[in-house]
Amino acid sequence: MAEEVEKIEGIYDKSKLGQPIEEIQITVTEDAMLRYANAIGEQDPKYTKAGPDLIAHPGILTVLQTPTGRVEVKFPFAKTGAHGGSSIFNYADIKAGDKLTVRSKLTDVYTKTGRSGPMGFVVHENEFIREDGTMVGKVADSMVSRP
Amino acid sequence: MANSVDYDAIDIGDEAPGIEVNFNLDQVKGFLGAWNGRVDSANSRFTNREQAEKEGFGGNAIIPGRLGLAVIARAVQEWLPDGRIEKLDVVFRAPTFQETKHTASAMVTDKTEDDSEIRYEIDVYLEREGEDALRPQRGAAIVVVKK
Amino acid sequence: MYIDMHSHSVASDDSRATVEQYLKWINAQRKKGFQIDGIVLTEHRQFDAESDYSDLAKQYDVLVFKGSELDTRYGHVLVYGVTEQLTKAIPFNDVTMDTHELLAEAARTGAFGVPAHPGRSGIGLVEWQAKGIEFPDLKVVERVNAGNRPEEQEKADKVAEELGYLGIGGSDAHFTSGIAKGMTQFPDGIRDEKDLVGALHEGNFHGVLIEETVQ
Repeated sequence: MAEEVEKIEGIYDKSKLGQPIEEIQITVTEDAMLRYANAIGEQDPKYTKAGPDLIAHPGILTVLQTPTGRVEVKFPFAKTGAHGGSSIFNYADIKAGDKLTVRSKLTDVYTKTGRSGPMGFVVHENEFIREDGTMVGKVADSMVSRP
Repeated sequence: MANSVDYDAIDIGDEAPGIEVNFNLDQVKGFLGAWNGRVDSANSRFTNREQAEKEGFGGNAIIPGRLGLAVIARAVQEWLPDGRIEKLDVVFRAPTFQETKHTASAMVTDKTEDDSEIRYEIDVYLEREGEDALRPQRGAAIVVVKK
Repeated sequence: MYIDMHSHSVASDDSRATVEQYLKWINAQRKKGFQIDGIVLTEHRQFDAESDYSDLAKQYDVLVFKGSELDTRYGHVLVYGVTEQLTKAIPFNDVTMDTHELLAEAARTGAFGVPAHPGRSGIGLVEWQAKGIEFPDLKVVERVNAGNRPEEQEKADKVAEELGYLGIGGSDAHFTSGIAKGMTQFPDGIRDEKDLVGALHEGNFHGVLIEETVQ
């Protein structure tokens, strides 16, 4: 099985590395902010009390991004996959009603060997930009493929 | 800045009190609903024990990595309530199971200060109860407290 | 002297600690009475020939050496004293490289290869030995790895005792607070990677956990 890791060449379109994939617009609603805070058990009123002072929880960017595009990478050994981690940067508070442009791109593809054999990693990054041009945050998500 | 927390006293090597969580299926479904309205089928790895086992996760239905990350963010924010989490970078090293007690916590690894802010660099983790060496999620964060 | 023989900085994909963060943390640990003299950066699947940590090493009074941790067919291997000759002979990013070839080529080029975390499933030596793969020339393994699960540490201890391997120790740190949790105690006098390889050949060392270094 491990030999197959060598076949990383040709498993995805390398010209897409670092290039914009998709750009979508989303509006962050008070309801979405409250639902997220409630679902993770948050109790701090700045994240849970509806009203003008409400701000989004610092983890919320991880669930606002899933509709955006992904470059498909087919590791020859892959039978299952999982989320390998997230890196979140929060540059500004997000408030209810914020209209955000979400820009996604593929930033890395690599392989290594772990406890369960070969592992293939695909990293996508999403930037979140407010209407006034402020980048409010960024999330890099690493997805892992395994035999 | 809140009077209840003595930020001057929090220094390198200090640990957060940590928070304990033990997510059940209903709570995971609540999180999936907050995840951009995502609705998983009844047999996803997040909602069905057998499916999780079939996909190689073993043990029990798992919780989304994003939920574990959110709990880590909660632990940091409860410890440093006036701080903004500027960066939260978490690696998901092993599955995190439902109906299993986990503790999210953090430790200061560096602290710098100027006239306007205190900047903490911290290690963060989610630890499964009963297994000393197993921390399914580990990472690093930067938290800034304005003076 | 005590040297952490296994650590990863942000140059490795799964680490989130910079070298300076490690060195600051080491100084905080020294204030608690722990003895820590140096670290070896063993980045995954690469050798970082370019980075120069000498100023940081001087600033924090910690030896900073560079090595590698390579993925091989029969588990991960730590390599110390990496030479240009070795990096030209072996593609460090080839995760299917032949373990025996790496160990032999390392020895031929003045470096020293040590199988990492031998008790770990999939990426440790023991599993492959159980399948009949032999390593007749092997003398040293990473016996102490602070990231080991208890059963992995037991396997490492067992193979070292049964086959008479010498054991080094390392933290396998990927995050700041993990550095130096495992180390190797050497006789004093190691100043650079060449000395380190020399000390490994001499065989007068053993792995320790940080708690064993309290003054």
